[in-house]
Amino acid sequence: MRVFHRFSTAHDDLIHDVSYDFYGKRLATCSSDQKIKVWDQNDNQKWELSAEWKAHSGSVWKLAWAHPEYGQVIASCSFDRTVCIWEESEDEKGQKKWQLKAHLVDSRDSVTDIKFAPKSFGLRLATCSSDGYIRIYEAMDIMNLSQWTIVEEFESQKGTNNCISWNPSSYDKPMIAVGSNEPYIKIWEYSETGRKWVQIDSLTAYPIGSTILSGNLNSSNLNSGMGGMSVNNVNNISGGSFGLNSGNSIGNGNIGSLNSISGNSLMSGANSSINVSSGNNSIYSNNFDSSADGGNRAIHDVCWAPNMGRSYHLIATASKDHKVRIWKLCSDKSKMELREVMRKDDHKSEVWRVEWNITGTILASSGDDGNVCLWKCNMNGEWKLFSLISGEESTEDKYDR
Amino acid sequence: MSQMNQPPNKCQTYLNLGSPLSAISSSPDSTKLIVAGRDIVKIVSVQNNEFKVTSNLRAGKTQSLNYTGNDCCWHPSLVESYRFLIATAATNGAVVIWNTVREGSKSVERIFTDHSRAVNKLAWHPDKLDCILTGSQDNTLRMWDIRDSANASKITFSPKSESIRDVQFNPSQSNQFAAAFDNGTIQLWDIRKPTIAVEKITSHQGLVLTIDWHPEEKNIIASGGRDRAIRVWDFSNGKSLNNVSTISSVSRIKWRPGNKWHIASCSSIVDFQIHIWDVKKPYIPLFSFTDHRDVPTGLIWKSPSSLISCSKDSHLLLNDFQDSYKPYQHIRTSGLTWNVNNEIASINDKINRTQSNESLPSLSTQFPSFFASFNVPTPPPLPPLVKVEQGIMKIYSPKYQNSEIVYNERYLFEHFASNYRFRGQSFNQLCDHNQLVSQVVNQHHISTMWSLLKLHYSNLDQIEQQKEQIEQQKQELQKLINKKSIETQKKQKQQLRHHKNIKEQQFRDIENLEKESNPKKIIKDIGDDDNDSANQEINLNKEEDEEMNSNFDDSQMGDIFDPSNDMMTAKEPPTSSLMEFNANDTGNDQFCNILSAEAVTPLVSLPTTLERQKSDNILDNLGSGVNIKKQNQPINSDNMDSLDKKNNKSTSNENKDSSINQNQQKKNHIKDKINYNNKDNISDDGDDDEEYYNDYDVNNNNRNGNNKENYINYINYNNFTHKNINENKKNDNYDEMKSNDEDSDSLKIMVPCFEFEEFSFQPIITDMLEACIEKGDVQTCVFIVLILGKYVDLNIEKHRLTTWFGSYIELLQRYKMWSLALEIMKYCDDQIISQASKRHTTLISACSTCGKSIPQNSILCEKCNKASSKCSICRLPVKGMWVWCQGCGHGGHLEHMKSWFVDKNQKSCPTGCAHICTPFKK
Repeated sequence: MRVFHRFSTAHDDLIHDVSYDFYGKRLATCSSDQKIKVWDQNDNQKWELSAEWKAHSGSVWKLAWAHPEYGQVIASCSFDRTVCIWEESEDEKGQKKWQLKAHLVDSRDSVTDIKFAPKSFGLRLATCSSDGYIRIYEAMDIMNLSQWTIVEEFESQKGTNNCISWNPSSYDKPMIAVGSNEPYIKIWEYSETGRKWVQIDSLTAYPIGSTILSGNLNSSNLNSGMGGMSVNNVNNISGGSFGLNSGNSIGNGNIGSLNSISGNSLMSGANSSINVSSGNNSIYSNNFDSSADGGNRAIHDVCWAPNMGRSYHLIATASKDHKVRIWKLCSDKSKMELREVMRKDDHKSEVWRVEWNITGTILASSGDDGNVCLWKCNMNGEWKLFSLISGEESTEDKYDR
Repeated sequence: MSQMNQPPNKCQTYLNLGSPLSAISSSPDSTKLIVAGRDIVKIVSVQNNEFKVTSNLRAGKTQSLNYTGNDCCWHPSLVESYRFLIATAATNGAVVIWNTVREGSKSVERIFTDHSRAVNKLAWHPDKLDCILTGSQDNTLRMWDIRDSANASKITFSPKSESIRDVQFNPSQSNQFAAAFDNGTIQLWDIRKPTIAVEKITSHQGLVLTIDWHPEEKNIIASGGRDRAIRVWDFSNGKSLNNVSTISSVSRIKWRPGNKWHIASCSSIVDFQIHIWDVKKPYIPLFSFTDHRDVPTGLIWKSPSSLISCSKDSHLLLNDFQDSYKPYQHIRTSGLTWNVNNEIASINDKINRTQSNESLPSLSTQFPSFFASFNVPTPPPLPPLVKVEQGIMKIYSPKYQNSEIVYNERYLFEHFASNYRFRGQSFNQLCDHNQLVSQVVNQHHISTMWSLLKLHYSNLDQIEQQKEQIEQQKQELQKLINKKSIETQKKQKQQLRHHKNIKEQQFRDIENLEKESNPKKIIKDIGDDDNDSANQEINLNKEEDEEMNSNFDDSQMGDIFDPSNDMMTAKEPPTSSLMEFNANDTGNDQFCNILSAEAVTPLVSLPTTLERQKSDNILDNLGSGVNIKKQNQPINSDNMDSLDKKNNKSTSNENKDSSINQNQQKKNHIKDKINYNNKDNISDDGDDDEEYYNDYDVNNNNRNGNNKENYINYINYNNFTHKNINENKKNDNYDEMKSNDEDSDSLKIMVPCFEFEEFSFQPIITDMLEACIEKGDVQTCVFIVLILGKYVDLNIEKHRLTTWFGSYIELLQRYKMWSLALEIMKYCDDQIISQASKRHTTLISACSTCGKSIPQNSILCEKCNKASSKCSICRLPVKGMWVWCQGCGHGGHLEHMKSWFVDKNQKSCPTGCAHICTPFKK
């Protein structure tokens, strides 16, 4: 990769998000200076500021473009606990102007992420907030964007929710992945029968290095499969003291199976004894400490890959423990299985963003080190670092494969 | 309320006083606090980080409104006789002076009731120890002397500026005080000049709720208002220094000791948190205390890192810095986004996440009086800040190596999207075409897929033709049954039987021929025979076509020369020729590798041979392609006409053969130009396609007319084989033969080669598609499904096919290739997809005379009974495409309008209405 364009956005404070529109011809940026700026690419391929306005009375965390079928619409969320819907329209003089269409004020804490649903589900917006709630809004009349109804509201995680991502496939049930200060993502889906969002409770997560037994892996056959080894089956009710349980299983030097039952999520993993004894590949890293800010494995960002016809889903997470992870979500009738297929710490610092390309073949991640890493699956199905774009002011990349 | 009673989890210590609190004030030695609320005035001791209620001043005095605590203020002096004095302000306007030395009812020293409405704020005079200043809701400020019990109110300030929300003496100029007003001003007054304000600053929109003098900087004051802002002002020049914007109205602010520009704030509604801001970083608080469950009402800094606060949730909290939520540790400062070109826009702002931990600057020395009691150590000074450039947008675009021509993903996608074909030609032709398309851009793995596909399913064309013939035959039969008697039919059948026998005989001959010579030889021979220029050949072929029409069996000849159809002859693969090909191979190792990798099928050696031939085919198609393709096109365009299908097929086969010859002659010369030619080739094809669509109907009709006789021939033949075909619809030709008892002889010849009927290619193809999907190439899969799907059950879940099509269509839309997306939608078998295109578009037309809407498929207006849309040039009603001017409303046939405005270069409306329909046309 090489730098193509480089320009200053001239925001007055830290920038929190940048987003291409559907066609990749416009960019929107948002910043702590409470402004949103929209940039258009002109005929000479130069990026020009097309609009800027004060959007919120707090830092603007995230932006989302609606599908262009619904017009030029941006949603923004902010520290001021509100979500704003902006629409570009022309006045009588033909001047384009971004207008505030709706102000969604339901959240009781900072709104940390917003995402529009796949087009086919209508003009829907999922928001996640530090008050622990996921709220889904819908514009019932797409011609009148000032009317938004809250169609769903459910508590995903006590405390803060950091990030949210829709399953981008229009042909599945509506699903969203939510990342919080807990070390795993939660996946919610809309249940037609219950007419509400339910957390997939049959979800089992297998971290990398876990021994996969043949056949269907469930708790009982895990135990039997491990033969004479003693199996630690720790049920962690609070979900808050992961480090302790993890340490416990490592201390015993045995196969650990961790079940965290907080709410109704189930996360269990099995480690081979080799991995456990080496300690590096244990399910939860040892450097877990209980700081007041929540787990050190807090998930900063989650991104659901465009499906592009695959039989499974890929979900990437960026987390505080310096790791970029890719999870493979396989569904088998009633059972869902979340398998970690990549875990990398090349950023050597907190990772803050993960983003899939349009075809879901390359994952980009960025972190506090200022670098952008690109990850790609090779012929053997292994995810590898494919390019590292240095944040330094050098024109040459460190390497480019 | 149950939540209210839970202990807060992130504080040093807390005390639940059981009643909402509205103000706190600290004793001068900071060992005690006065806590006031609507139902409460209590003294709390602060020792060893623990709160303890020491006395309740309101014990037994609960009835009187005088003792409600709207505000409270401990006397700041350490002088013995004053240090126990406390003032509280009540919502009814009473000001009560308490002496905490005394107990019970005697503790009340004075009650002043001159204020007519609630007193919002109290302030003891810093020097005149007996004086206290009050600001009230009744728009006045009063200065009291507590020694005078009868007539205490000494000075009354009436600024006529609405209610006073806050009042505070200037720490550096004790005769001055600042007051905050509901009209948005803060005013500086001098107690020696009670008539008029010294200074007036309009600081907020709406109410100013709180002010706080900077403890160190002279004339600097901070104010907080309902407009959600905290502003810092310099009273010496009336200028605003900083503007912090918070998320809800600011009810209390307090400068943080030890950090010059840090200030704590809390809100009166919505936000229950206490934020500590650096006024130089006005958008994100440095840290926040999140423990209160209702709005905080009073703030006191116990030390630079610990804060005492009271709240409407009845709690008194002592928070330490380490309890706080530190937003800078949780802020995303990198943006990352992809676009369709695989470009990444990224912003990565450097952030000092530990800035909330930054060591305290040595300001404590400047607050000797304040810090004396806290024993704050003097920290080392901070290193100078390095200015880092922020907010730089970088857009990266992918760099592709190993290619002189840059094939980026977008180019490839668009190339495939616009050049792939899935209809309008026979199966083999489509495969060939698509293979060529992928070959041009060096996508060898894709081209291999297409060639394998063609190899595996080359017989599909025949099945397809037979199917179509059956269809036609059915129709014709229907007619015949109506017209002719059964007897005549019988006669025909007998004739046909004869016909068929002849055919079988010929077929057998061919088989024998093949067995004798290897396929390449045949091709070579024929190639030599037809060693004319491409043009001539095609003319020749056309003549042959007609012959073949009359003699169906001849078309089998063509199939033999189709290399892909030669499987049955490959019992003994000609290794020598294979070697030869390898020797001839001028590189392209990758291609070879893929081929060998794919050849895990039972046809191990065979596909390789055939592929070799085919790749040669490609090469010469590429080389001589420009001419041949162009010539080919008109013939191809008739393909839809099922009668001509066979003919065409043989034609194209002939072409290929000739191409091989040409290739052999020109190979070296041509190869250089391959890429260039290919491009031409493809764009030409595109044009021809258009023509083809336009002329399709006409051709079809003509053909039908001309070939009536041929039709009958076909029908006769088909009639005969009908049964067999029905039985063997999905099997290949060999099965068909096998099941035919009459042809048991020929069967013997066929069977020994391979037992095809037991082998299914479907799993291989399915695997191939999956591998393709895995790579993210949904495009090729969609086209394969479109082409192959109608013949072969690919055993892929319907749901998945839907997602394939859906994903591809969405990609096309992203690339703005609307018409292609619609075409895919139209020809896709999937209900969900094909209906998606119909869901959104509705066209409602209205009568141009009366305005009544016209129902679909109707030309006449129901009301006027007139044709509404007449072409303004030919005056005839327009059915179909109608264009009109948005300005004058006149219009007509697309063709007519085009000729008027484009060909005749007119600007004004053809009706003569004088409207300039094309004002911008040059």
